[in-house]
Amino acid sequence: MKLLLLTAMAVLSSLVTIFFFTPEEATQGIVQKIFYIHVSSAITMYLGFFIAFLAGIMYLLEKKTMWDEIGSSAAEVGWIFCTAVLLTGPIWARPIWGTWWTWEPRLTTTFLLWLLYSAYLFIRNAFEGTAKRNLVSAILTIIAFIDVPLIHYSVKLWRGIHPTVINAKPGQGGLPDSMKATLTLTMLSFFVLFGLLFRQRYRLEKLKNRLNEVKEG
Amino acid sequence: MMYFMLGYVVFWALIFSYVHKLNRQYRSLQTQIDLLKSEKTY
Repeated sequence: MKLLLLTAMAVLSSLVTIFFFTPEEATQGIVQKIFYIHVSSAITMYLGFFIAFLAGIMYLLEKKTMWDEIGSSAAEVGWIFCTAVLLTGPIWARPIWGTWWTWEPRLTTTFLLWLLYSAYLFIRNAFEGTAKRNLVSAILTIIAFIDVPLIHYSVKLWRGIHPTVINAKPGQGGLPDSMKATLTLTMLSFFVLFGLLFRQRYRLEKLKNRLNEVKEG
Repeated sequence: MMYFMLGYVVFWALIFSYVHKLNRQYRSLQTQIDLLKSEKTY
């Protein structure tokens, strides 16, 4: 209940800041405000997949069910945020680039990541109730994570139209301080939201294992 | 303006539908566990 309240407060305060206290971007106008949820979703997606990657390694080392529960929960919540990135991106791209989608490096590698974790969730369901499931899941989360640094550096490695605004300086495509502050606040609120979703998903995974125990016992 | 609103609506619809799915699955699993336990006790 405390986490739910904290999430609601964090998300509401970030939304109020985005709508009422952050200036509109000079050329793009109000549509640029999608940026805050788009980028925050992307960073939260990285967080989810990174936790799943670490949990995958820990499972291979220790073979404890807890690591599988943590990894699968983080991967699924990360996949939800990846879906959010792929939905909000085209909605922002349509009025700015004039197209919903283009096969440029960052978009392509992000779509590939979504496909990899979709396959992970599908395969995990296919192996449900078998001893191999946890092992296959751990290996898949480690393999799929290779795409994350590729996405991050794709704008530097290959030519594309996707902007790099986080590390750019103001006046050279970078953000002014007011927008940076709003982005930071939104990111923090999304981390809290991630925590809430992760906790719910983790409880569900534990209950699934409990059901299998009751069935067997 | 339309795209801006669409972005926010789609994002929150996704999050709320996921929360709804998690809660529904949790209740269903809890019911299954309770039923199995009561069958075994009986």
